[in-house]
Amino acid sequence: MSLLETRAVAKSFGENRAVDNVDFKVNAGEVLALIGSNGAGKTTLVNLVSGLLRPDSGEILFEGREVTQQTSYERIKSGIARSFQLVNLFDQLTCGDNIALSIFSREGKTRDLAKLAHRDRAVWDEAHDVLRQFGLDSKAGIAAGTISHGERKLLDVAIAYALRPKLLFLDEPTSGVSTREKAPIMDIVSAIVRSGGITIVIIEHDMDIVFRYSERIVVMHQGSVLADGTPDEIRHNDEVTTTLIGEHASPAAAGDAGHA
Amino acid sequence: MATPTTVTTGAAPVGGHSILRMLAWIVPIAVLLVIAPWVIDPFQTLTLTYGLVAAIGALGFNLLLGYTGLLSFGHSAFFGGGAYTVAFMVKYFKIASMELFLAGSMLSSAIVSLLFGFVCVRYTRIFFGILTLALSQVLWSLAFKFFWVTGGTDGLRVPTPSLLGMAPSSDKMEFLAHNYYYYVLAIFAIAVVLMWVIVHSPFGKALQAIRDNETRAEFIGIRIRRYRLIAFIISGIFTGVAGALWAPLNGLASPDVLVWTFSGEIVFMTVLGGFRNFVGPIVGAIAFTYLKTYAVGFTVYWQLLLGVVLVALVLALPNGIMGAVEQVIAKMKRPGPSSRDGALT
Amino acid sequence: MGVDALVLSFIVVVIGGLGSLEGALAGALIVGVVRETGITLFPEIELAVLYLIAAVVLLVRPAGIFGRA
Repeated sequence: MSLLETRAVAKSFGENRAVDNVDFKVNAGEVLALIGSNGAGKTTLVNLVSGLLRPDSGEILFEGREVTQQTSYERIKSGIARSFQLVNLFDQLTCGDNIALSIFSREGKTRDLAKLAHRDRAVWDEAHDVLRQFGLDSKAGIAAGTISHGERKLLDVAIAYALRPKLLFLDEPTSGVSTREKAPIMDIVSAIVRSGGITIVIIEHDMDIVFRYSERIVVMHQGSVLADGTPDEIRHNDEVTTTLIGEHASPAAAGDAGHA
Repeated sequence: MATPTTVTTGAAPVGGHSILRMLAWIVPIAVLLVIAPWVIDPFQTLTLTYGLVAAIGALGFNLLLGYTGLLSFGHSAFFGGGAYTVAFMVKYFKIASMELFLAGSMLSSAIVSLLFGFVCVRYTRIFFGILTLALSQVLWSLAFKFFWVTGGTDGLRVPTPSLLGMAPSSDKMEFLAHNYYYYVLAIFAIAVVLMWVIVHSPFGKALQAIRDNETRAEFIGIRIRRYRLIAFIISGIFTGVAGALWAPLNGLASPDVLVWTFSGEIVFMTVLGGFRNFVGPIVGAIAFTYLKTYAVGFTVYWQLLLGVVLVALVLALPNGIMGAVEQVIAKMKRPGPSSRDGALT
Repeated sequence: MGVDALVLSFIVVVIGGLGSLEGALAGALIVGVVRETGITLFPEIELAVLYLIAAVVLLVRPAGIFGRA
């Protein structure tokens, strides 16, 4: 039984079939990359799975249970989390608060209005640990709206990570980040998630990162799944390389390919 | 930009507040408030009482605006609702105890805010504002039209109640300027402490998350509508209590405190004091009360005077009074460019 | 008078629709008619009816009848 499965899921926006009858599986513990040119339907698929959108047809199963009509709140509670391509942070709150909120929510403590938040040592210790893992410890007391773009991308992932999800979607975690900052981000992300045993799905345009970190690659094109296999299989798949013009499978040329 | 949660230095415990530092300025102010009736004349004390009452209302209002990001234009429904609840309790149930007045107003405010809130929290921004305005105007028009029940434009008389069982003395002015003042001050202190705990609780953080980024808040597992509704109800109760305290002070419950322009005053005093700051609404409410009182006493064209002064203040202090105070303090601590709070003004 | 007209215009726009001229016309007609029939038929609640209609429009069709918000 796969951790996540979509069956014949479809979603259209007007005449645009963004996701067209997609069967998509994610197995527990793996690191999967979801690639494809812009408009291929990757983010829409993630939006459907995480509950931001409802599919027009098809089913979504998580841990064998149908979640197609569940709200995103319910899916979070089931163990699905995501980061966002366009960074979504609580800008006026400190970086520490941003992480602590995930923890408070996870523990069901956001209902408490009679206790002082900063008194909860367990939550703040964990928040500091997470910040440290992401290299953001020095920013704990700084408002999230004021840190650098690369740090914001990291924080965005950290917020999702702090929920300790079973399945984590990372939507272009290195987009808009300078080439110099990319590898450290992915190293941190990869180290953390491997140690935690979380299943990850990464949407990425940077082929270098895709081939270095993923165990399995799913290629999407115009709303459908084009190919599904190990990095080697995809690398040698001619249909994939011809369809994704400009996104060569070799890491050497991949450095430039990721800037959407 | 000043944030309601104090942004401490990087090394300090996250969210920690130095109690000692807060006491440094709370204690002198508390002392001043306590000795006030003995050093200023009764008229001034009454003005201060009105100011404290408004402050309780504004504090409640700002839970929605500053902390949850919802601008309500219908809070007169709660303030007026609280006042009229007291008036009805006097007229129809012959009640004369302030404690019962407070209990009754809290109950009626909770009910009204539950009903209004249930409808309104499904919407945000301008729709939320207009919806709250429309609903509060329904209440106003009912009070206005059903004059045989509510006294119409004449309003309903509210005599001075007993406080903690002690009946009012024959000298009404003396009673209001002393006993009633301390009663209001005590409730004000309780309200401030309660609200401070609420906004610094995990729940308060969740509200701020909803304010800053609704989508992300949902994606960390916060139920947006439910939390907004709870905030709405708490806000309504605080403002209802303010209305209940106002009624005996004014001696009369009239539709003036139910009409939407009064909601506008509540918004104004909060923004004037600084809605991104915990004490902003308190400062704004007291300042506004004084400005209005003295303008009225100064000239028959008081509305013009008040309007001009308020416009000038808003232009000069875009972040409200407390916003300006925080900027001054920040400049005093770090002469020159500050790297701590970064780009936020 | 000025203040009352202000709120009434608000109601007109809410009912008729934000960003629409036909909406303003429709809203004004509706408000005018409702007010006058209200005053004649049920004078106590004619004002409340107007605000209630506005509230209902906001709930059912927040952009207003002809709105494009």
